[in-house]
Amino acid sequence: MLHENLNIRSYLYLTLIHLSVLLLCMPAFVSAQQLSYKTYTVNEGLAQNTVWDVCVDFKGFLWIGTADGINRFDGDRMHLYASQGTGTSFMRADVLYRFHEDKRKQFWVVSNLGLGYYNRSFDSFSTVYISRQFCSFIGEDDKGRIWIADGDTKILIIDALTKKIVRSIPIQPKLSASTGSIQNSISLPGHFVTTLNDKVILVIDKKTERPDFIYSEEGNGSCIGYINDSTLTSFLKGMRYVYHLRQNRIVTERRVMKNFTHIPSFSSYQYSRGELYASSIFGLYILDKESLEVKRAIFNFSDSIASEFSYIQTLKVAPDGIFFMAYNGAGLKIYSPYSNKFKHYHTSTQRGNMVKSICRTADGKVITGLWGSGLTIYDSVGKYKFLSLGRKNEINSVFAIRNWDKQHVLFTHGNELVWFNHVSGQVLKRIKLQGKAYFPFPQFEQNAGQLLVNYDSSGYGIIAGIDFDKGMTNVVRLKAPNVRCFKWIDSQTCWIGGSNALLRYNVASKKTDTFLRDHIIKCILLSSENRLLIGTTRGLCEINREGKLLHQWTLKDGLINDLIYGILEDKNKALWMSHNKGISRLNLSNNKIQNFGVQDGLQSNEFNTGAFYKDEEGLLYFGGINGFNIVDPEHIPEDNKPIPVSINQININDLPYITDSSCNELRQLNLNYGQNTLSFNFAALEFCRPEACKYRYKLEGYDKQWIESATIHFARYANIAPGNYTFKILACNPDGYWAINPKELNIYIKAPFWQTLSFRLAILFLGLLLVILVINALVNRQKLKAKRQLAIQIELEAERLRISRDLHDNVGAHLSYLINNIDWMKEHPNTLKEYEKSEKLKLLGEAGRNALHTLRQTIWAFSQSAISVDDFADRFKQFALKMLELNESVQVDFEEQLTINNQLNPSQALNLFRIAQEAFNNSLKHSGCSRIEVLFLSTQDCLFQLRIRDNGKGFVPEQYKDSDSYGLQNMLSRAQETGAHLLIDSEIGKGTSITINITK
Amino acid sequence: MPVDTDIRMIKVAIVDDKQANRISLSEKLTEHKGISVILTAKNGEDFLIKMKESKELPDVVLMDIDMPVMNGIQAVNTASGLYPSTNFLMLTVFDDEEKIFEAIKCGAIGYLLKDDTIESIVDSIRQIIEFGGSPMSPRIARKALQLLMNSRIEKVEKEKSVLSDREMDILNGLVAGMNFKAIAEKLYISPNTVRTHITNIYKKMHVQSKTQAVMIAVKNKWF
Repeated sequence: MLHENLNIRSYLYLTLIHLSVLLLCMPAFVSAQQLSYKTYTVNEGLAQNTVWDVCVDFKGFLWIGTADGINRFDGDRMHLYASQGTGTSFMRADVLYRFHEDKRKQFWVVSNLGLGYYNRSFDSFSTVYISRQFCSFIGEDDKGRIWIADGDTKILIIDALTKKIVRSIPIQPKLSASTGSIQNSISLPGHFVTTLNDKVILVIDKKTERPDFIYSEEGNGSCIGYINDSTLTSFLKGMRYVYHLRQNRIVTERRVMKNFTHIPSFSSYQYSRGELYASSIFGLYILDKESLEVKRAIFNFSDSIASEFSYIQTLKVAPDGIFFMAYNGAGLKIYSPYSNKFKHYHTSTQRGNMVKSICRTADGKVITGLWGSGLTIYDSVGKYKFLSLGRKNEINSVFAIRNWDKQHVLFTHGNELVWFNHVSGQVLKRIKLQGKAYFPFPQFEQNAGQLLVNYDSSGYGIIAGIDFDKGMTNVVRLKAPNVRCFKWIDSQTCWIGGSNALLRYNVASKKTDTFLRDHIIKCILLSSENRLLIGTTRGLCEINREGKLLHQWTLKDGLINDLIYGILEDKNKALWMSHNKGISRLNLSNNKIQNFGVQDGLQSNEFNTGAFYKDEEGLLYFGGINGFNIVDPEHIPEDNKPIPVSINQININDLPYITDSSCNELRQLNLNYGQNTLSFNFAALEFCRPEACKYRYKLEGYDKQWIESATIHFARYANIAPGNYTFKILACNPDGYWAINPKELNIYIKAPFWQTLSFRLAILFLGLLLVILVINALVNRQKLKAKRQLAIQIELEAERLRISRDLHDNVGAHLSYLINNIDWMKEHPNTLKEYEKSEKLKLLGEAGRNALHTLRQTIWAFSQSAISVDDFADRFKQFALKMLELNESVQVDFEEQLTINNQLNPSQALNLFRIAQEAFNNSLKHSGCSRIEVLFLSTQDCLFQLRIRDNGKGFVPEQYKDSDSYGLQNMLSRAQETGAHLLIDSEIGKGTSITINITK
Repeated sequence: MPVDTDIRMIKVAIVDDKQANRISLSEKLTEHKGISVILTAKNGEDFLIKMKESKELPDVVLMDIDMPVMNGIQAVNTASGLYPSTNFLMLTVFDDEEKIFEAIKCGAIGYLLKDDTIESIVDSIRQIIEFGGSPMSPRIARKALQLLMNSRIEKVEKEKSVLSDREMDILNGLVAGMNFKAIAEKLYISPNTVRTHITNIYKKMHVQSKTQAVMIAVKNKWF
């Protein structure tokens, strides 16, 4: 880095040409303060641009009476109420709507055709009275009755509750016919005062209910204004009338208004906040109550602008200073102090509005340096004139301007420094800076009593002191080009903002240190508390003297935008920053940030580098692309009223919910199962800055917390489960105040029948019943099983007994006989003769074989769980065949009649087999037969029948019944045991037939 | 009794798990001329091993049904596949016809009860050599009828196993409790012809697949 005392050639550059140019470019001052209005016209949905009356009802809706019907604005949409069809309705009127909200919050409308009222829950109007003449609204009395005038013939009193005419008072004598001109009415404690037309004022004593008139042939204006409870005024063509209402008479007083002879009449008066406002074709004024002279103009028009369309037909001023102005042809305009927080000045041409630098002179002028167009000078009352400096394009730009002394300002102009006398309008001196002809980032800075400026010189950044006589002194030459701003914090240290870093320059060592790399530095502020604050394109940075970054405020901390053009500190030590998205205020003590946008009255949201200035009174100036704003930090009007929200549309399953009443009046929404996709359109009832309202909503029972929807005023919920919900909406007004009481709508989605409690209880009951039944069945089954088990056990026991008895009786008998005989033979080896022995052994072998046969039968029977009849038959045949081998003379015939192959249980089978065996043996051995017939029968009815019939000699069964011969006794007892029926049919000489029968 | 040198010696094998039974039966049979016991085994597996080692094959095997390690039915099933020329007679204490029938399906051609007299046993052996089959009880005949009438045997097998009208008559006679003589008289044929028919019926009842049994035998090196 170099530090040189360059010998800059400075020269005076004052020529006649320049002077003449300057003088030529000074036209007359014109008004430059710009007020911000919200305007509603047909473009915004109004039915007509001719508006008669405007009113905000207690719900917060904006009512606008137009020539083509009544509009209700819900913050989002204009609803139109107009008469349709051929029926008679007061709404068929095309002139004069007057709104009146009575004590009971009923909303009345008087048109030239009659009287009607708004049915809030059905969102429609009803007609109460139709007039054939010209209806006028008079007022509401203490009893809550509505008074109207039916033309100039009678006065009607309507009961507000029953909507019936309770009294009709004729007007005597008849006056000249009414015309459809502007009329108004005032309700005083003792009187109603109504202008019937521009010549007649109707005065009614509320006690006597008697009408009286103020009549003037030449006219007295069609509009009256309130001064106090017994004094009224009207105005016509420069003549002011004052009416003093006394007990029994009216005293009229006339005054000439010198300043307003050009005004035909005041079209509307409004007494509000202790001020009397009056509107006319030329603008809006505040009148002095005593003198009735104009105290000041809220705004006024020149003759060229004033027209029929700028004619305010009705003016209403809300308690918080919001003006509603109903125009004759320009719709509705709303002026709000909250959207005019900052004074805004601009010129009528674009070239005068690109403010690059700004300062305020000692005599109260504001001078703005423009891009490419020289200067604009605003006087103390807000009128301006251009000062074109005679060059073109960028070299005619003024990027820095500064007071030099009381009469002079110093500014940069291309590559020159210019001393300019703003009082005389003359250039005092010009100094050419060595370097480029055009450098866009010069700034003036004070250091140690000397004014310094930065500029660019062939690649070097120059910071130099300015001396009116000597030119540039104490030049600091930096290698870094594009020095954008600089700040001396002491005699030795200068902080320099560059295009991509912050530099610290030490005078003694001539060394620089680099900080905040990659930050474009826009401005540097040394606060009153000696804090070093750097405005960058990446937010606000605070650094200490060592260059350490202490804090950085960005978008995340609530800044409206990270790009900071300028920083100014107000008296309260708050920082004001201009961005390219508005202005923000940072309170360093608590880090609270407040943002302002174009809705608050800013010239635009875009501000400019270098265009910021703080005057001695503490007012802050910020220049942008559309003029400049003055910030008075002490007086920022702030709206802290909570704003109501209205629900304007409800969609069920994405189709509009149709209801008799208006959506907003609904308290409860009852829906069926399946109607479970809901969406809501809602809007804050804010009419001046609706776009700056924010919302949060919550569906209680569904959402756990509030949903911040920012400026979106729509919510949608899909597939909500049946149940009870409450939809709640809260709105935040444009100044950041959240409403406390949310707008609420209860929603009930019916459960389908299968989800209802009664159905569930029924199902539960049925379920329980079923469970009980099942348990019961299981228990029974268990019992049955146990029972069966027991039965089986008993059966098994019986079976076991049968087997053991069978073995004992049959096998055991044979075996014991066998053993006894063998033993006897062993003990008596010589007793028997040889042939006897062989006979005996043959018998013993027979006995052994019999034992085995018997055992075989027992095993056959008991090895199976059941024995089919055919099995039985086959076995018996086998047995019979074996027996026949020894008796070849006997022929046996078997016959099977098995229509069903029934089953026998083992013991049955065994017993029957033994019976049959016995019977067969008897026939074979004792009957001397030649033929035996055996029949096996098994049918549907008969479980089993076995018949053995021979053609032998026969016998008399009775003779053998009791003896043991032929085993008859044995057969009978076996049959008995088995439950079989044994029939022995025999006769001497006729053979024997033995039948065993088991029925099912 | 005249010595008939033309009568070829009938070679018999006895398979029984009880040594006493093997010895007593072996002794009783040996007493009869023309019958020699060439092999005794204590169970099915022992039998198969001994058959493999034996130089000569028996004509008739008297096979007990219930034996440990390998029972008579399994042994018959395997051995009838391996030694088709050998006849298997089941020898049992209890005439459990289910098991007997199962054995017949596996290749046995009749059964005897152990308490049958030695004469009737020898008679049965001789009949087998002469006619190829032994008597059939009404129960077995009924089962045979059911099996062969309603069999779901494969087509090729079916041709072999389908009953002729005469065989059907004979089986029906047996089921009706008629003896050979009665059947023969009824059908105007000789009792021996009846026996031959019965032998054929036995063979038709051999429906149990041998393939698997043979594979097992080869795997176990019983063949």
